Amino acid sequence: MSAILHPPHGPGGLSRRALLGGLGGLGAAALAGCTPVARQVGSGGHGRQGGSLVMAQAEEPNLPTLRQQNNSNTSWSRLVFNSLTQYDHRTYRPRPQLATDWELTDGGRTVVLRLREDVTFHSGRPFGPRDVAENIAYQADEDGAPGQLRSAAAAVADHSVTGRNEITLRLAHGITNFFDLCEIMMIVDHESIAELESGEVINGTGPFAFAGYDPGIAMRFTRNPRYWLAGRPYLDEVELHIDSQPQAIVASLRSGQTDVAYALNGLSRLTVRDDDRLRLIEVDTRDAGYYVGCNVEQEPLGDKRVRQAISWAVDRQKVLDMALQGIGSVTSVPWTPVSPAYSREAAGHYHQDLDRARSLLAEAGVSGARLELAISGNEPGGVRSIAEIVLDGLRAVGLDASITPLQPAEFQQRLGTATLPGLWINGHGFGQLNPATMLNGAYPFNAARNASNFSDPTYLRLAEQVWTTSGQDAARAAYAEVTDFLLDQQFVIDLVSSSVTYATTRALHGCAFTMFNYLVLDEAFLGEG
Amino acid sequence: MLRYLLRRLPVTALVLLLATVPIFAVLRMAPGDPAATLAGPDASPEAVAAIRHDLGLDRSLARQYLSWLGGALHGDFSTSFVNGAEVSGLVGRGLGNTGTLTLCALVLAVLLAFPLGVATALARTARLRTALSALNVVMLAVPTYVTGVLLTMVFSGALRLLPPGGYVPVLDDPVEGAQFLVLPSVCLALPSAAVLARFLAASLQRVFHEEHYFASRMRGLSRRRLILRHGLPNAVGPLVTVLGIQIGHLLGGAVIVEAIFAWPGLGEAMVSSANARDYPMVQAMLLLAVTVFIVLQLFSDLVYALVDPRVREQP
Amino acid sequence: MSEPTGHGATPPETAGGAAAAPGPAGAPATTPPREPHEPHEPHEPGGRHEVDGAAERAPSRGPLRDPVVLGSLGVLVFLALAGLILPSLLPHGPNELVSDRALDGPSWGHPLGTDELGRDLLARVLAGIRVSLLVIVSSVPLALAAGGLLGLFSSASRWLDTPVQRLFDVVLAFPSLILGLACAAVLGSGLTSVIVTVAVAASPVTGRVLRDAVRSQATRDYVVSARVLGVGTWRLYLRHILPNCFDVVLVQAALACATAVFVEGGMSFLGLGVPPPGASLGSLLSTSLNVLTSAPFYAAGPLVVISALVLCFTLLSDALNRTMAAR
Repeated sequence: MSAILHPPHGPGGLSRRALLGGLGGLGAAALAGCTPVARQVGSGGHGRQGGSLVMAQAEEPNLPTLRQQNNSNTSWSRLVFNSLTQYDHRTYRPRPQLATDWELTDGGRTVVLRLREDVTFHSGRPFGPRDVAENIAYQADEDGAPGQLRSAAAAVADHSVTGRNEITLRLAHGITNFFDLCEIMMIVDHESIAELESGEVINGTGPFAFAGYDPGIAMRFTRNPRYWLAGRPYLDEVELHIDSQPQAIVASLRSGQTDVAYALNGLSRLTVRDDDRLRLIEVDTRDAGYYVGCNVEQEPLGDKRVRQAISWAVDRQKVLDMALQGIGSVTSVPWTPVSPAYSREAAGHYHQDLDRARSLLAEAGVSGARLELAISGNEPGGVRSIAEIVLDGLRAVGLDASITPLQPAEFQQRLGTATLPGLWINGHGFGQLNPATMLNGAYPFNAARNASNFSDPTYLRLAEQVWTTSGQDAARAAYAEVTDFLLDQQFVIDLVSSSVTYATTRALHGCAFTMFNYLVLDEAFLGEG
Repeated sequence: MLRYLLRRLPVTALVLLLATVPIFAVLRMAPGDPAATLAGPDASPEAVAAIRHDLGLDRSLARQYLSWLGGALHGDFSTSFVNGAEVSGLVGRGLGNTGTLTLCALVLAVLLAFPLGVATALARTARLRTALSALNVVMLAVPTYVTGVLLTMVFSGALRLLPPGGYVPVLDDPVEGAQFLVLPSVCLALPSAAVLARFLAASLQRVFHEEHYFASRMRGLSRRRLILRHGLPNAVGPLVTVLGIQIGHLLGGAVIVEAIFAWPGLGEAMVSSANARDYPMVQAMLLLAVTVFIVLQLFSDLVYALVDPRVREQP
Repeated sequence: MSEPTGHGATPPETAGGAAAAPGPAGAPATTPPREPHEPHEPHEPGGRHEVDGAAERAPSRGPLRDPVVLGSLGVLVFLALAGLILPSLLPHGPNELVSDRALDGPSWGHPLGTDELGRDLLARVLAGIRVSLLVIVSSVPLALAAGGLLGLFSSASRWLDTPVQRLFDVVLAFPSLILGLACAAVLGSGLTSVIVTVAVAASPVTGRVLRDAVRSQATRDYVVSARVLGVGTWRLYLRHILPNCFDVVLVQAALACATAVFVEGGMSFLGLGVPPPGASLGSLLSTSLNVLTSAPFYAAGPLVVISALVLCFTLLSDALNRTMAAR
């Protein structure tokens, strides 16, 4: 049978030789032709003006959830859009963006916003008061995936255009987080709001115009020559690559293919830190909170003493130092330091105290109880490391716990239906927003319905109170009361409030961030590493 | 011959049709909801239900299956749950990348196998034979994830010659693209090269025993000429059959090599879509895999039928 | 019999026949080539070895005289003992967060260094050996039993032969790690999935080889004469045929062990194996890949151990195969 399969003699040998030679040549050319990719440094060398920037992130941009502060849209939104104001990171005061000036009267119930005059959308249409009104209405809209600031937007009862570039808003009641709204709300061309979520038209006033999107591959942006900030931006184009493997993103950073990587975590951060051509930037809002959730329907977690014991058993410092590479601060409360509800004392309430944990467990009559600790996925570092440290604490106080890595889709589903097997580790945001937003919107804490199956009339009352209280002192008292309640109940055990990180090459200069992690490239340029 | 093919075709089609049932069912049997993943952590049950409706997941399983099957028959594999892109495009891209990697690995494997195989067949001293067979066992047995980590350590860690992973399309930039290809293809090629070398050595040695070879040798042809003109061409035949099987295994081995070197191929797409329960993607990829397997099987049966008339004549 | 054709492409009708027929290319069947036999599976070390030494078998000196067998056995026993005994002598457990210094290089206290959480890497590598041993002990007998039974049925009944061979074809067509992905999607990740995957992936080879061996025994004179003498089928199999196939099974067992180590490592590498905080050689390797630049020592232990395990099992089966074929 082998005879039949023989190739014809002469030509076979010849073509093989040709193939060999050709491949050898290609290989030699590839290796000798230029600097190896592995030794390239970020591009640069020319002046500030021009150049194209490559960003990379693991998550797919998600247009239907543009109103939510999702990680998937954080890196690129501020390139295309502007907000009305932008907080100063140090003073936490709003500063002008599309709004140049504002006046709050009548206990915060009347707001006059004066708008920048020389602004046009990428489509060429001038920006005006009508855009502000329509965008607030869009934020208040309940259809689709509503934003976290829906409630704040809905508080705007009425508006009137009081000048060519002035709008007066009348609020149903004073809200403390009005400038959160002005900061988060990306101003979209009001004529194309309907086409925004489908991605048909993405029209803003930002430094770069949206230039195309290949799902799963990349989003592209080109310089907006009519940007209202004179002479800006420097860069000609920006490309956002989507690569679901963080490891590939780190590799492309190191080989100079990528200039900015968003939301790297875990061990990839270590690699970035170790590479002197790269820089790791922590966004200083500390809005990535990591917590241990308790499903209170799973015994013995129904007993709050057990939950407190778990809180005492965990070594938060180790979680911060080893699992989160020291980025952030340990905490026992969901609020971040910039939140009005934050108090240093409450944040330091829990720390590792094994004896206290053991005695609480003994008091509750629980010994050697079996507990499952669920995590999403099983990637090295990150949440898995947190779980391992938490587990170490649980075992130290005599709880028989084990880690169950669930595939992300299963984890998400069980979280949403509150059927996780006992304990779980996850992250939550919004710690820097108004506490009312968190207690009524964020799923881990939602008083009406949460992942922990925790329902309690006191909690409902407190959440309501935080929501409706007006006046600074009353609000502070309400915040303190709810903080104490959360510290006592511990159905969500906060561990660390950490930060999202951007990794950039040293060649990239002048990139900045808003208080809500949005990347700002107005002043960015590629220079010498 | 044609009659044999015609007889086999309906059976093949039936097997493929039957295979669509488990392909459709396997991920749906596993826990997890794609809508919940899409909706994000803070979504209300209503929002999740709305997404389920949009994705068509609230229809009965039978209707979902039939509409998928109907689409697939027309070459329409619907759109990905995760990013709404055409599944055929996404799978095509993954296939292209995995294909590039596999092809490079295959060429490398053949290039490595020829010298190794010839050397093994010609080795005279026991020491050389032992060394060559030891090399062969090492190439064959050491898992790809071990060689992958080792290669990365040496070539991108210590020497900083090649990137540790990632991807640049070879067509866009051949010089850079080739550098990204080197490590993964070497890693993938080594075990296959070992297998091919063994086969080559075995069939070469058999050829050496054959009469015409013996006769040529008697005629006083040079050793080099003998091997090139008579040994190799006669030994290559059986190798071709093995090559087909090796392609299948290279494709399979690509799963782990892609994970090591962050190569955006089918293996990587498979893992990430299974994680997100992206049903249309996973179904399309499984269907592709099963089709390839069934076609290869049919092909090899045909080759056997070609070689062995008894198979053809069997009822 | 020396024709190197892959099983994936071998139609069941010819697989059995080819084993008894003389090589078509004219090589005399009585002088099998000396090279290793039929290594088909590149990524599962020797996953599809064929034993063609089943023909000429006569009692002779044991395989233990072979230096390769001795050497591999020695290394394997050493690693197994290290995995079983050494952990109890170490001051730290594999999951204890003992050091405040993460990713610290090798030192007296931690000969292989510490991992990303300050755990002792030596203890974790040893724990990884235990996991591999556990998978071997639980999955290899399963694979041998399942494959063996199917192979026996296949050899005993013409009716069963074709479907069983087709089943083997299907399973063999899927690379073991793809099987592993499917298993983990349905059963959830963890050791159960790993064990099931190994058992499924390794059984067709055993089944095939045993089937061929039994068939070749069945045509031998002693079997024919026993049948003529009226020995019952059961008795024939249990007392005569199977004992003569023992060698074949032994070679397969060694190979299945290599497959078990390979699959466990691969699945853990993909995050589908032992759940954290448990250590496995594969998960250690995949973590080390993330810190390769800052902590290259991390990879050393798992690299050496996993290579040694797979290599030794493969060498062992190769050598056993050779010595038995020589008998």
